[in-house]
Amino acid sequence: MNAPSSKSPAWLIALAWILVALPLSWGLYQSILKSKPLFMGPAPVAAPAKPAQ
Amino acid sequence: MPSFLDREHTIAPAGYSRWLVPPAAIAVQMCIGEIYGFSVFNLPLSRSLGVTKPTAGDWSLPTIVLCTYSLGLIILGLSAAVFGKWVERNGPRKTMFASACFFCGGLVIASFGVRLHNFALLTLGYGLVGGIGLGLGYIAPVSTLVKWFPDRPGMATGMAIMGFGSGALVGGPLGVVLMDHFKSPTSVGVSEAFLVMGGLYFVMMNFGALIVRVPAQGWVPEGYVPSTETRKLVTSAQVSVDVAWKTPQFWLLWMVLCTNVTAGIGLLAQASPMTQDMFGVSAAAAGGFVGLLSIFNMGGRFFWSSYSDVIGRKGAFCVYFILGCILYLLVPYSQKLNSVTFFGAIASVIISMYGGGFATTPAYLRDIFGTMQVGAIHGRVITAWSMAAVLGPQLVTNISAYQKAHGVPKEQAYNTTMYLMACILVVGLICNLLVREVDPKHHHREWTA
Repeated sequence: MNAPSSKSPAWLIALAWILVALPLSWGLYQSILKSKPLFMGPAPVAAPAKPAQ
Repeated sequence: MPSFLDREHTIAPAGYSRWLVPPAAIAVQMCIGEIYGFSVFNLPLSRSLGVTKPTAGDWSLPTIVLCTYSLGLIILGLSAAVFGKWVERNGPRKTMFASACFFCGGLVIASFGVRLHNFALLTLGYGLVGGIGLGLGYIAPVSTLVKWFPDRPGMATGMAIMGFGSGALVGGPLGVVLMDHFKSPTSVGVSEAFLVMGGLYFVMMNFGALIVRVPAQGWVPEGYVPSTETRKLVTSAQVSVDVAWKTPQFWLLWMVLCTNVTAGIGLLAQASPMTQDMFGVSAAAAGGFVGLLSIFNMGGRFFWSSYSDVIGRKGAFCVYFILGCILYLLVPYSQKLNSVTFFGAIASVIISMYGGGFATTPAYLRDIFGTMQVGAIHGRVITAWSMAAVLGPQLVTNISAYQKAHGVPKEQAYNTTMYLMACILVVGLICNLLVREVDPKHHHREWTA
Protein backbone atom coordinates (compact mmCIF):
# COMPACT_ATOMS: atom_id res chain seq x y z
CA MET A 1 0.00 0.00 0.00
CA ASN A 2 1.40 3.37 -1.01
CA ALA A 3 0.57 5.89 1.66
CA PRO A 4 0.07 9.46 0.39
CA SER A 5 2.71 11.97 1.45
CA SER A 6 1.65 14.81 3.76
CA LYS A 7 4.00 16.55 6.14
CA SER A 8 2.63 17.07 9.65
CA PRO A 9 2.21 20.84 10.13
CA ALA A 10 4.34 22.36 12.89
CA TRP A 11 1.27 24.06 14.42
CA LEU A 12 -0.43 20.70 14.89
CA ILE A 13 2.60 19.28 16.69
CA ALA A 14 2.82 22.39 18.88
CA LEU A 15 -0.94 22.29 19.59
CA ALA A 16 -0.78 18.61 20.56
CA TRP A 17 2.04 19.23 23.03
CA ILE A 18 0.38 22.36 24.45
CA LEU A 19 -2.87 20.46 24.99
CA VAL A 20 -1.13 17.91 27.20
CA ALA A 21 1.31 20.37 28.79
CA LEU A 22 -1.42 22.73 30.04
CA PRO A 23 -3.23 20.34 32.41
CA LEU A 24 0.11 18.81 33.40
CA SER A 25 1.55 22.21 34.39
CA TRP A 26 -1.61 23.05 36.33
CA GLY A 27 -1.38 19.72 38.18
CA LEU A 28 2.30 20.28 38.93
CA TYR A 29 1.60 23.77 40.27
CA GLN A 30 -1.21 22.45 42.50
CA SER A 31 1.03 19.68 43.88
CA ILE A 32 3.90 22.05 44.63
CA LEU A 33 1.49 24.42 46.40
CA LYS A 34 0.15 21.51 48.44
CA SER A 35 3.61 20.28 49.42
CA LYS A 36 4.67 23.68 50.84
CA PRO A 37 3.55 22.94 54.43
CA LEU A 38 6.08 20.07 54.55
CA PHE A 39 8.96 22.50 54.30
CA MET A 40 7.55 25.04 56.73
CA GLY A 41 8.27 24.75 60.41
CA PRO A 42 5.71 23.31 62.80
CA ALA A 43 2.82 25.63 63.56
CA PRO A 44 3.50 27.72 66.68
CA VAL A 45 1.82 26.32 69.73
CA ALA A 46 -0.93 28.67 70.81
CA ALA A 47 -0.51 30.14 74.28
CA PRO A 48 -3.01 28.68 76.75
CA ALA A 49 -6.03 30.91 77.04
CA LYS A 50 -6.42 32.75 80.31
CA PRO A 51 -9.28 31.38 82.34
CA ALA A 52 -12.29 33.62 82.24
CA GLN A 53 -12.45 35.90 85.23
CA MET B 1 -17.03 0.54 14.88
CA PRO B 2 -16.24 3.10 12.14
CA SER B 3 -13.58 1.95 9.69
CA PHE B 4 -11.32 5.00 10.26
CA LEU B 5 -10.49 3.43 13.61
CA ASP B 6 -9.03 0.33 11.95
CA ARG B 7 -5.32 -0.32 11.99
CA GLU B 8 -4.99 -0.11 8.19
CA HIS B 9 -6.54 3.38 8.21
CA THR B 10 -4.01 4.61 10.76
CA ILE B 11 -0.84 3.84 8.81
CA ALA B 12 1.15 7.05 8.73
CA PRO B 13 1.66 8.76 5.36
CA ALA B 14 5.19 9.78 4.42
CA GLY B 15 6.04 13.02 6.21
CA TYR B 16 3.99 12.28 9.31
CA SER B 17 5.93 13.49 12.35
CA ARG B 18 6.55 10.85 14.98
CA TRP B 19 6.50 13.66 17.58
CA LEU B 20 2.70 13.60 17.36
CA VAL B 21 2.60 10.15 18.92
CA PRO B 22 3.95 10.96 22.42
CA PRO B 23 1.30 13.66 23.12
CA ALA B 24 -1.37 11.25 21.84
CA ALA B 25 -0.10 8.64 24.30
CA ILE B 26 0.21 11.13 27.16
CA ALA B 27 -3.33 12.43 26.53
CA VAL B 28 -4.75 8.94 27.04
CA GLN B 29 -2.48 7.93 29.91
CA MET B 30 -2.98 11.21 31.78
CA CYS B 31 -6.73 10.62 31.79
CA ILE B 32 -6.71 6.98 32.87
CA GLY B 33 -3.98 7.76 35.44
CA GLU B 34 -6.73 9.62 37.30
CA ILE B 35 -7.11 6.42 39.32
CA TYR B 36 -3.92 7.37 41.21
CA GLY B 37 -5.73 10.48 42.44
CA PHE B 38 -8.91 8.62 43.38
CA SER B 39 -8.21 9.04 47.12
CA VAL B 40 -9.68 12.58 46.98
CA PHE B 41 -13.12 10.98 46.52
CA ASN B 42 -12.77 8.52 49.42
CA LEU B 43 -13.97 10.71 52.29
CA PRO B 44 -16.77 12.47 50.34
CA LEU B 45 -18.02 9.06 49.13
CA SER B 46 -18.07 7.80 52.71
CA ARG B 47 -20.58 10.54 53.59
CA SER B 48 -22.55 10.70 50.34
CA LEU B 49 -25.84 10.27 52.27
CA GLY B 50 -25.03 12.26 55.39
CA VAL B 51 -23.18 14.95 53.34
CA THR B 52 -21.55 16.66 56.35
CA LYS B 53 -20.76 13.46 58.24
CA PRO B 54 -21.28 9.71 57.67
CA THR B 55 -24.73 8.48 58.59
CA ALA B 56 -26.50 5.11 58.78
CA GLY B 57 -26.48 3.58 55.30
CA ASP B 58 -23.32 5.39 54.18
CA TRP B 59 -20.56 3.26 52.64
CA SER B 60 -17.51 2.35 54.70
CA LEU B 61 -14.11 3.67 53.65
CA PRO B 62 -12.33 0.27 53.26
CA THR B 63 -15.19 -1.04 51.07
CA ILE B 64 -15.04 2.03 48.84
CA VAL B 65 -11.27 1.69 48.38
CA LEU B 66 -11.48 -2.06 47.73
CA CYS B 67 -14.32 -1.90 45.18
CA THR B 68 -13.14 1.15 43.26
CA TYR B 69 -9.38 1.80 43.44
CA SER B 70 -8.12 -1.73 44.17
CA LEU B 71 -10.64 -3.47 41.90
CA GLY B 72 -9.86 -0.98 39.12
CA LEU B 73 -6.14 -1.81 39.32
CA ILE B 74 -6.81 -5.56 39.41
CA ILE B 75 -9.07 -5.32 36.36
CA LEU B 76 -6.41 -3.15 34.67
CA GLY B 77 -3.93 -6.03 34.88
CA LEU B 78 -6.43 -8.67 33.86
CA SER B 79 -7.86 -6.75 30.91
CA ALA B 80 -4.38 -5.84 29.67
CA ALA B 81 -3.50 -9.54 29.75
CA VAL B 82 -6.75 -10.71 28.12
CA PHE B 83 -7.05 -8.00 25.44
CA GLY B 84 -3.34 -7.68 24.62
CA LYS B 85 -3.63 -9.67 21.36
CA TRP B 86 -6.77 -7.78 20.37
CA VAL B 87 -4.88 -4.52 20.89
CA GLU B 88 -2.01 -5.69 18.66
CA ARG B 89 -4.48 -6.77 15.95
CA ASN B 90 -6.64 -3.67 15.96
CA GLY B 91 -4.03 -0.97 16.46
CA PRO B 92 -3.79 2.00 18.80
CA ARG B 93 -6.61 4.19 17.47
CA LYS B 94 -9.40 1.67 17.90
CA THR B 95 -7.96 0.66 21.28
CA MET B 96 -7.72 4.24 22.53
CA PHE B 97 -11.30 4.86 21.40
CA ALA B 98 -12.47 1.68 23.16
CA SER B 99 -10.48 2.69 26.24
CA ALA B 100 -12.19 6.12 26.25
CA CYS B 101 -15.64 4.48 25.93
CA PHE B 102 -14.97 2.06 28.80
CA PHE B 103 -13.16 4.44 31.14
CA CYS B 104 -15.47 7.43 30.65
CA GLY B 105 -18.54 5.19 30.43
CA GLY B 106 -17.42 3.73 33.75
CA LEU B 107 -17.26 7.21 35.26
CA VAL B 108 -20.81 7.93 34.03
CA ILE B 109 -22.11 4.64 35.50
CA ALA B 110 -20.28 5.39 38.76
CA SER B 111 -21.84 8.87 38.76
CA PHE B 112 -25.33 7.32 38.62
CA GLY B 113 -24.24 4.86 41.29
CA VAL B 114 -23.40 7.74 43.64
CA ARG B 115 -26.56 9.67 42.77
CA LEU B 116 -28.80 6.63 43.40
CA HIS B 117 -26.60 5.54 46.32
CA ASN B 118 -26.26 2.15 44.65
CA PHE B 119 -22.92 0.59 45.57
CA ALA B 120 -23.20 -2.16 42.92
CA LEU B 121 -23.42 0.51 40.21
CA LEU B 122 -20.41 2.36 41.64
CA THR B 123 -18.38 -0.88 41.66
CA LEU B 124 -19.54 -1.84 38.18
CA GLY B 125 -18.73 1.63 36.82
CA TYR B 126 -15.41 2.56 38.40
CA GLY B 127 -14.02 -0.87 39.24
CA LEU B 128 -15.14 -3.15 36.40
CA VAL B 129 -16.04 -1.11 33.30
CA GLY B 130 -13.54 1.63 34.13
CA GLY B 131 -10.89 -1.00 34.90
CA ILE B 132 -11.23 -2.46 31.39
CA GLY B 133 -10.69 1.05 30.00
CA LEU B 134 -7.58 1.36 32.16
CA GLY B 135 -6.08 -1.87 30.85
CA LEU B 136 -6.76 -1.03 27.19
CA GLY B 137 -5.51 2.54 27.51
CA TYR B 138 -2.38 1.54 29.40
CA ILE B 139 -1.02 -0.84 26.79
CA ALA B 140 -2.44 0.81 23.65
CA PRO B 141 0.31 3.34 22.93
CA VAL B 142 3.30 1.35 24.18
CA SER B 143 4.04 -0.88 21.20
CA THR B 144 3.22 1.99 18.83
CA LEU B 145 5.79 4.24 20.52
CA VAL B 146 8.41 1.49 20.55
CA LYS B 147 7.98 1.12 16.77
CA TRP B 148 8.18 4.89 16.18
CA PHE B 149 11.33 5.30 18.29
CA PRO B 150 13.61 2.32 17.54
CA ASP B 151 16.56 4.62 18.29
CA ARG B 152 15.29 5.60 21.78
CA PRO B 153 12.75 3.00 22.96
CA GLY B 154 13.35 3.71 26.65
CA MET B 155 12.67 7.41 26.26
CA ALA B 156 9.58 6.68 24.16
CA THR B 157 7.97 4.31 26.64
CA GLY B 158 9.07 6.63 29.44
CA MET B 159 7.03 9.46 27.91
CA ALA B 160 3.91 7.30 27.64
CA ILE B 161 4.12 5.77 31.08
CA MET B 162 5.01 9.19 32.53
CA GLY B 163 1.56 10.28 31.37
CA PHE B 164 -0.03 7.66 33.61
CA GLY B 165 2.04 8.87 36.56
CA SER B 166 0.86 12.42 35.92
CA GLY B 167 -2.77 11.32 36.20
CA ALA B 168 -2.79 11.87 39.96
CA LEU B 169 -1.34 15.37 39.60
CA VAL B 170 -4.19 16.37 37.30
CA GLY B 171 -7.05 14.10 38.39
CA GLY B 172 -6.69 14.70 42.14
CA PRO B 173 -6.86 18.53 42.09
CA LEU B 174 -9.47 18.46 39.29
CA GLY B 175 -11.68 16.20 41.40
CA VAL B 176 -11.34 18.58 44.37
CA VAL B 177 -12.15 21.65 42.27
CA LEU B 178 -15.22 19.97 40.74
CA MET B 179 -16.51 18.67 44.08
CA ASP B 180 -16.12 22.14 45.60
CA HIS B 181 -18.04 23.61 42.68
CA PHE B 182 -20.92 21.14 42.79
CA LYS B 183 -21.30 20.49 46.52
CA SER B 184 -24.57 21.61 48.05
CA PRO B 185 -26.48 20.99 51.30
CA THR B 186 -27.83 17.81 49.72
CA SER B 187 -24.80 16.57 47.73
CA VAL B 188 -21.08 16.05 48.28
CA GLY B 189 -20.58 16.79 44.57
CA VAL B 190 -18.97 13.45 43.66
CA SER B 191 -21.70 12.36 41.23
CA GLU B 192 -21.48 15.62 39.29
CA ALA B 193 -17.66 15.58 39.39
CA PHE B 194 -17.59 12.05 37.91
CA LEU B 195 -19.94 13.13 35.13
CA VAL B 196 -17.91 16.21 34.18
CA MET B 197 -14.63 14.29 34.38
CA GLY B 198 -16.11 11.57 32.16
CA GLY B 199 -16.94 14.22 29.53
CA LEU B 200 -13.60 16.04 29.73
CA TYR B 201 -11.58 12.83 29.64
CA PHE B 202 -13.61 11.48 26.70
CA VAL B 203 -12.68 14.54 24.62
CA MET B 204 -9.01 14.39 25.68
CA MET B 205 -8.64 10.65 25.06
CA ASN B 206 -10.27 10.86 21.64
CA PHE B 207 -7.96 13.71 20.74
CA GLY B 208 -5.15 11.22 21.35
CA ALA B 209 -6.95 8.56 19.31
CA LEU B 210 -7.40 10.97 16.40
CA ILE B 211 -3.76 11.98 16.02
CA VAL B 212 -2.10 8.62 16.70
CA ARG B 213 -0.69 6.70 13.75
CA VAL B 214 1.30 3.51 13.25
CA PRO B 215 4.45 3.56 11.13
CA ALA B 216 4.35 1.97 7.67
CA GLN B 217 6.09 -1.39 7.47
CA GLY B 218 9.83 -0.96 7.10
CA TRP B 219 9.79 2.69 8.23
CA VAL B 220 12.86 3.92 10.10
CA PRO B 221 13.62 7.42 11.40
CA GLU B 222 15.58 9.68 9.08
CA GLY B 223 19.30 9.08 9.45
CA TYR B 224 18.78 6.08 11.70
CA VAL B 225 20.97 3.11 10.87
CA PRO B 226 20.14 0.03 12.90
CA SER B 227 23.23 -1.16 14.75
CA THR B 228 24.86 -4.11 13.01
CA GLU B 229 26.84 -5.18 16.03
CA THR B 230 25.01 -7.56 18.32
CA ARG B 231 24.19 -5.98 21.66
CA LYS B 232 23.83 -8.27 24.60
CA LEU B 233 20.17 -8.77 25.55
CA VAL B 234 18.85 -6.77 22.58
CA THR B 235 17.34 -9.15 20.08
CA SER B 236 16.55 -8.57 16.43
CA ALA B 237 14.35 -11.68 16.47
CA GLN B 238 10.65 -11.79 17.37
CA VAL B 239 8.79 -13.93 19.88
CA SER B 240 4.99 -14.25 19.81
CA VAL B 241 2.99 -13.65 22.97
CA ASP B 242 1.78 -17.26 23.09
CA VAL B 243 5.37 -18.50 23.17
CA ALA B 244 6.84 -15.65 25.23
CA TRP B 245 4.83 -16.32 28.36
CA LYS B 246 6.11 -19.90 28.44
CA THR B 247 9.76 -18.80 28.58
CA PRO B 248 11.71 -18.32 31.84
CA GLN B 249 12.56 -14.77 30.71
CA PHE B 250 8.88 -13.78 30.87
CA TRP B 251 8.51 -14.97 34.46
CA LEU B 252 11.82 -13.47 35.55
CA LEU B 253 10.71 -10.12 34.16
CA TRP B 254 7.31 -10.62 35.81
CA MET B 255 9.13 -11.04 39.15
CA VAL B 256 11.39 -8.07 38.41
CA LEU B 257 8.34 -5.82 37.92
CA CYS B 258 6.42 -7.36 40.82
CA THR B 259 9.23 -6.87 43.35
CA ASN B 260 10.03 -3.33 42.20
CA VAL B 261 6.36 -2.32 42.36
CA THR B 262 5.68 -4.09 45.68
CA ALA B 263 8.48 -2.17 47.37
CA GLY B 264 7.52 1.17 45.82
CA ILE B 265 3.77 0.95 46.22
CA GLY B 266 4.19 -0.15 49.84
CA LEU B 267 5.88 3.16 50.57
CA LEU B 268 3.64 5.24 48.30
CA ALA B 269 0.39 3.91 49.73
CA GLN B 270 1.50 4.53 53.32
CA ALA B 271 3.53 7.71 52.83
CA SER B 272 1.02 9.94 54.60
CA PRO B 273 0.59 7.93 57.86
CA MET B 274 4.32 7.08 57.82
CA THR B 275 5.46 10.70 57.84
CA GLN B 276 2.90 11.53 60.52
CA ASP B 277 3.93 8.59 62.74
CA MET B 278 7.69 8.83 62.17
CA PHE B 279 8.17 12.60 62.29
CA GLY B 280 4.97 13.92 63.83
CA VAL B 281 4.17 16.20 60.88
CA SER B 282 0.61 17.45 60.37
CA ALA B 283 -1.90 15.66 58.14
CA ALA B 284 -1.79 18.62 55.71
CA ALA B 285 2.01 18.44 55.43
CA ALA B 286 1.82 14.66 54.98
CA GLY B 287 -0.73 15.19 52.18
CA GLY B 288 1.70 17.62 50.56
CA PHE B 289 4.44 15.04 50.84
CA VAL B 290 2.31 12.54 48.90
CA GLY B 291 1.87 15.19 46.18
CA LEU B 292 5.63 15.66 46.07
CA LEU B 293 6.13 11.91 45.66
CA SER B 294 3.69 11.95 42.73
CA ILE B 295 5.97 14.44 40.98
CA PHE B 296 8.96 12.13 41.46
CA ASN B 297 6.87 9.14 40.42
CA MET B 298 6.09 10.93 37.17
CA GLY B 299 9.55 12.40 36.56
CA GLY B 300 11.28 9.10 37.34
CA ARG B 301 9.33 7.40 34.58
CA PHE B 302 10.86 9.66 31.98
CA PHE B 303 14.31 10.11 33.52
CA TRP B 304 15.16 6.51 34.41
CA SER B 305 13.64 5.03 31.28
CA SER B 306 15.58 7.45 29.07
CA TYR B 307 18.72 6.64 31.08
CA SER B 308 18.13 2.94 30.38
CA ASP B 309 18.77 3.72 26.69
CA VAL B 310 22.33 4.51 27.79
CA ILE B 311 23.08 1.83 30.40
CA GLY B 312 20.75 -0.90 29.13
CA ARG B 313 17.58 -2.25 30.77
CA LYS B 314 19.33 -4.85 32.88
CA GLY B 315 21.73 -2.21 34.17
CA ALA B 316 18.88 0.18 34.92
CA PHE B 317 17.03 -2.43 36.97
CA CYS B 318 20.27 -3.27 38.81
CA VAL B 319 20.45 0.41 39.80
CA TYR B 320 16.79 0.38 40.97
CA PHE B 321 17.35 -2.71 43.08
CA ILE B 322 20.78 -1.95 44.57
CA LEU B 323 20.22 1.76 45.20
CA GLY B 324 16.65 1.05 46.34
CA CYS B 325 17.88 -1.55 48.82
CA ILE B 326 20.43 0.88 50.33
CA LEU B 327 17.81 3.64 50.55
CA TYR B 328 15.24 1.41 52.28
CA LEU B 329 17.88 0.48 54.86
CA LEU B 330 18.51 4.20 55.42
CA VAL B 331 14.85 5.00 56.22
CA PRO B 332 15.10 3.92 59.91
CA TYR B 333 18.30 6.00 60.16
CA SER B 334 16.45 9.09 58.89
CA GLN B 335 13.95 8.56 61.71
CA LYS B 336 16.82 8.25 64.21
CA LEU B 337 18.13 11.60 62.95
CA ASN B 338 14.56 12.92 63.10
CA SER B 339 15.19 14.49 59.69
CA VAL B 340 12.05 14.71 57.59
CA THR B 341 14.11 16.33 54.81
CA PHE B 342 16.46 13.33 54.66
CA PHE B 343 13.49 10.98 54.66
CA GLY B 344 11.81 13.05 51.95
CA ALA B 345 14.93 12.85 49.78
CA ILE B 346 15.20 9.06 50.28
CA ALA B 347 11.51 8.46 49.56
CA SER B 348 11.60 10.70 46.48
CA VAL B 349 14.46 8.72 44.91
CA ILE B 350 12.79 5.40 45.81
CA ILE B 351 9.51 6.51 44.21
CA SER B 352 11.31 7.85 41.13
CA MET B 353 12.78 4.36 40.63
CA TYR B 354 9.36 2.79 41.25
CA GLY B 355 8.05 4.86 38.34
CA GLY B 356 11.22 4.16 36.38
CA GLY B 357 10.60 0.41 36.70
CA PHE B 358 7.15 0.75 35.12
CA ALA B 359 8.52 2.77 32.22
CA THR B 360 11.59 0.61 31.61
CA THR B 361 9.62 -2.66 31.51
CA PRO B 362 8.12 -2.29 28.00
CA ALA B 363 11.55 -1.38 26.58
CA TYR B 364 13.05 -4.40 28.41
CA LEU B 365 10.35 -6.62 26.88
CA ARG B 366 11.06 -5.18 23.46
CA ASP B 367 14.78 -5.95 23.89
CA ILE B 368 14.10 -9.54 24.94
CA PHE B 369 11.08 -10.50 22.78
CA GLY B 370 11.20 -8.03 19.85
CA THR B 371 8.51 -5.56 18.74
CA MET B 372 6.11 -7.97 16.99
CA GLN B 373 3.71 -8.48 19.92
CA VAL B 374 5.36 -6.39 22.62
CA GLY B 375 2.04 -4.75 23.56
CA ALA B 376 0.39 -8.09 24.20
CA ILE B 377 3.39 -9.41 26.14
CA HIS B 378 3.43 -6.18 28.17
CA GLY B 379 -0.26 -6.72 28.88
CA ARG B 380 0.47 -10.09 30.45
CA VAL B 381 3.44 -8.85 32.46
CA ILE B 382 1.24 -6.12 33.94
CA THR B 383 -0.58 -8.75 36.00
CA ALA B 384 2.52 -8.46 38.22
CA TRP B 385 1.37 -4.93 39.03
CA SER B 386 -2.08 -6.16 40.10
CA MET B 387 -0.40 -8.63 42.43
CA ALA B 388 1.94 -5.97 43.82
CA ALA B 389 -0.91 -3.46 44.24
CA VAL B 390 -2.44 -5.86 46.76
CA LEU B 391 0.82 -7.18 48.29
CA GLY B 392 2.74 -3.92 48.91
CA PRO B 393 0.18 -1.90 50.88
CA GLN B 394 -0.96 -5.01 52.79
CA LEU B 395 2.61 -5.76 53.91
CA VAL B 396 3.29 -2.23 55.13
CA THR B 397 -0.10 -1.77 56.80
CA ASN B 398 -0.25 -5.14 58.54
CA ILE B 399 3.36 -5.33 59.72
CA SER B 400 3.36 -1.78 61.10
CA ALA B 401 -0.02 -2.40 62.77
CA TYR B 402 1.37 -5.61 64.33
CA GLN B 403 4.44 -3.75 65.58
CA LYS B 404 2.33 -0.99 67.14
CA ALA B 405 0.03 -3.56 68.75
CA HIS B 406 3.10 -5.21 70.32
CA GLY B 407 4.37 -2.07 71.98
CA VAL B 408 6.87 -0.82 69.40
CA PRO B 409 6.84 3.02 69.46
CA LYS B 410 4.97 4.31 66.44
CA GLU B 411 8.08 6.20 65.23
CA GLN B 412 9.86 2.85 64.85
CA ALA B 413 6.88 0.75 63.76
CA TYR B 414 7.91 0.91 60.09
CA ASN B 415 11.54 -0.21 60.50
CA THR B 416 10.87 -3.94 60.05
CA THR B 417 8.82 -3.25 56.94
CA MET B 418 11.66 -1.21 55.45
CA TYR B 419 14.10 -4.11 56.04
CA LEU B 420 11.58 -6.46 54.44
CA MET B 421 11.26 -4.17 51.40
CA ALA B 422 15.07 -4.22 51.06
CA CYS B 423 14.93 -8.06 51.06
CA ILE B 424 12.20 -8.01 48.39
CA LEU B 425 14.45 -5.83 46.24
CA VAL B 426 17.29 -8.35 46.65
CA VAL B 427 14.96 -11.05 45.26
CA GLY B 428 14.22 -8.71 42.33
CA LEU B 429 17.94 -8.15 41.77
CA ILE B 430 18.59 -11.91 41.61
CA CYS B 431 15.75 -12.38 39.08
CA ASN B 432 17.11 -9.50 37.00
CA LEU B 433 20.62 -10.96 37.00
CA LEU B 434 19.20 -14.30 35.80
CA VAL B 435 17.64 -12.76 32.65
CA ARG B 436 19.33 -14.09 29.49
CA GLU B 437 18.53 -14.03 25.76
CA VAL B 438 15.54 -16.11 24.62
CA ASP B 439 16.50 -19.49 23.19
CA PRO B 440 16.43 -19.18 19.33
CA LYS B 441 14.04 -22.16 19.16
CA HIS B 442 11.32 -19.77 20.45
CA HIS B 443 11.88 -17.18 17.70
CA HIS B 444 9.01 -16.48 15.32
CA ARG B 445 9.93 -17.47 11.77
CA GLU B 446 7.44 -15.56 9.54
CA TRP B 447 8.04 -11.98 10.65
CA THR B 448 9.23 -9.14 8.51
CA ALA B 449 10.05 -5.98 10.45
